[in-house]
Amino acid sequence: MKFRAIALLFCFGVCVPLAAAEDWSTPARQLADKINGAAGPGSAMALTFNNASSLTPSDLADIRLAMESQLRTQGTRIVEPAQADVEVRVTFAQNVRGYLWVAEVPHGHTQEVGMVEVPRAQRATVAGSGNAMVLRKTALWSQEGPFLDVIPLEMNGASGNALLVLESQYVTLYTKQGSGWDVLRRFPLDRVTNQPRDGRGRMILTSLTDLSVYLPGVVCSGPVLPLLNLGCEATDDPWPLASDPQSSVKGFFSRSRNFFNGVLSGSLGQGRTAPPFFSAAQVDEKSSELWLFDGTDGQIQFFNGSNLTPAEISGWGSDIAGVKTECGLNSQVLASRTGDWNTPDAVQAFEIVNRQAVPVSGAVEFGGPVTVLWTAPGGTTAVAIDHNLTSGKYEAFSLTISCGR
Amino acid sequence: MEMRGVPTAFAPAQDLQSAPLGSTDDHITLLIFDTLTRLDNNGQAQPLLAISWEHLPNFKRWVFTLRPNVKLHNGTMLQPATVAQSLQASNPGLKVSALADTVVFESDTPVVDMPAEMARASNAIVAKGSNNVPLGTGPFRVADWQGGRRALLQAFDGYWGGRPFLDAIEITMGRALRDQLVDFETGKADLVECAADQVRRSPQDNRKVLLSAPDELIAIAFDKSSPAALQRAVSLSVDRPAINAVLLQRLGEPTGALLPQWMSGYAFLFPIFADVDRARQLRSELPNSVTLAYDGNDALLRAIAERVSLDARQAGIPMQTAQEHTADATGAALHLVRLPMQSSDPVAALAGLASILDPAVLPRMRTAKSMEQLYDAEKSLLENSRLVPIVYVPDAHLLSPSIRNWTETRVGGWRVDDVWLEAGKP
Repeated sequence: MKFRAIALLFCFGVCVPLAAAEDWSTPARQLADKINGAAGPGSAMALTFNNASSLTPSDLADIRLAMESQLRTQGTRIVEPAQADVEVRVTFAQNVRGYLWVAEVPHGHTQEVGMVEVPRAQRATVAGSGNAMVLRKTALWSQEGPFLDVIPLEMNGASGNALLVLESQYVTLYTKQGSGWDVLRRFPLDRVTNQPRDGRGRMILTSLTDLSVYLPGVVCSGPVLPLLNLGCEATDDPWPLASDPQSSVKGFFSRSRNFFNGVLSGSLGQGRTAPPFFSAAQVDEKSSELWLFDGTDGQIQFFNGSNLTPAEISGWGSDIAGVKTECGLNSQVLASRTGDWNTPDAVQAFEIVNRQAVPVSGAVEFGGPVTVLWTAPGGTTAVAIDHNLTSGKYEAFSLTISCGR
Repeated sequence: MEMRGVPTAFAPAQDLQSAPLGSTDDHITLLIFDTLTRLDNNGQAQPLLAISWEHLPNFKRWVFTLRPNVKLHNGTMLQPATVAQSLQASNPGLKVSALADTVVFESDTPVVDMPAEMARASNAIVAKGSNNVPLGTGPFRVADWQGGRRALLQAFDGYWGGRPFLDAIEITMGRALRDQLVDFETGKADLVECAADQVRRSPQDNRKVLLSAPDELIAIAFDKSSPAALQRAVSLSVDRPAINAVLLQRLGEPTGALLPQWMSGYAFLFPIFADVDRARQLRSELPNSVTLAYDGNDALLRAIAERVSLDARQAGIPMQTAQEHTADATGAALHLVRLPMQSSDPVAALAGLASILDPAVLPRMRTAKSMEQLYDAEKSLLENSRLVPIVYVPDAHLLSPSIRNWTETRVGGWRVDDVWLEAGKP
């Protein structure tokens, strides 16, 4: 998670949230009202449209129809310029806050200007799969000190009766004994020195005999069973960004920092460089892979294997993870929200539709800042770790999406 | 790193109108001092020394909750009273007080953009150390300051955000661009300024060009004594798109507005095209000769001044150019100036310009609750100011490949506390 303005988000002037799928009718109506107010009702009006924004031609067609319809209901006749009493120029612009629709209505030698602001973030409410989903968190583990990753294991045919916990210096295998947990084995990770204060780490488990642990500048690997036994190597090898070691995109992690430096590897990422990023998520886009990188500058980037393009997504924190489910479009992104280390966090599920982030679940609240969000082994769930501000403990949860309410 | 500017002070200029332009440098200021907030790339305020804020519905009272356990560079804890004192000095029009772990702003008129306003370098928190030396809480502390010549900044071990990775930053001031380029190419400097018009001319592999959004306005400032007709005629005569295309390789943004299009979204409403016929109609109201002065050390300003002068003469305006501080420039009524944006938030940016151009209109800027109102305020400020906007230019720097994790904001702000140098470099 990263800094958040707890404060208020206030809208400037006419600021129109979009409530439904690509529903531009409200701002279009408001701009039409402003035009009618300036030109006077009943006039013969010619409209010209100029797009200086990222709105698509389809958006523009919808907006134009909605505006013309509203103007006509108020008695305005839409005519060709040659027959017009007044020629109105409408420009769809954008600024740092969002879209700005501007109408210029001439009045003799002067002109009246009307504007409507449409927050760009609201475009995130375009239609997703249409299926409301439920994001649930299930407690996995908690402890006093920080830890970096956790994997629930299935041992002796029963799930949830064992747990791997990664700390900056150890991997510990716990087994359930009654209502508590016993340490089966704590394995010190050698070669791990000078880890950053807010270091990160990840475990990739393909089977109980194949565990890989990635820490800044160190990779350890070995079996969990029959005996947890890892060999470590000082290396800057790239980390898989998906939940399996054959991830098509891997990222080189900054040895002394808490983010990926942007240099990519893997079958899809080889030779490519993204801006430095905290986390990544993979979703499906028309049967192809689409990656999202959550940049250290707060900018989300899309990457489809060839092009890196900035996304118009705001409000996400620094942790994202992709999951594959049976719901909706079958792939969702879980994202923490922006915030500070002193405030509780939340995670919400989104689908990517036309390169827009569409929320498909409610937000699941945490007792403190989320410090870790990784896709869990298998790719269908995620693991989140928070630092509970009330108890002071670090807590791990499994995040699961279920379809429908 | 090297720079052309010759800032004489490292603490922010709290009285923008009386402080000479260029007496401080925002990049340096924000390495040493923190602000309550910072702006992200969408212009939204994010927490820095303040962790949250709230306001009354009428925007006349704002309460910012301060981050706990922040140390000043002398090792003492930053107190809310110090924050209030600093912000009171930089905001004389507001009443600023400390209350528990908060600072409270009260004003007679609504201030809708307070969080963005608090991100400006001029609102950085300055405490007074021994001998009244300004003390900050930023990632770097001043180890040596020779105003206008050299500065040495050292990493602050007690920085609340964690000690920066760089041990120190040495800044050489007053270096001409060509000298900076030589120093960069010979490895004497890791970060130098670069003329925007040079960015596309000599690409090389061993450097990275940092280019911000167009965030510095180049404009003609008119003396109060010059006739209004002269300002109108000059504005009508200048071919701004040609200046951007030819002199800036299209990296800038020709403008007739005070705020750039990417920031306001409505700059296109201010005309940028020349109308020589209308300019000629004003000839009878013009003086016999007009001098446009420019900084002779600034090659881009020189080229723009010459182009403006050419356009003006074609419209019948008898304009000559002269380098500032020369005999020819004595009594010049027109000055070509650079005005850097102080914020990526449109309201705060316009307020920043207003504080320099016409502080009387500041309240109108700060009460603008919609872009429509801001447009009206900008139009009024432009009509009443003695300024003709010409072009917005980006901030361009060359960065050595040994510098890692460099990030900067849309308007060219630096986040140097995240930067580290590749091994082998000092």
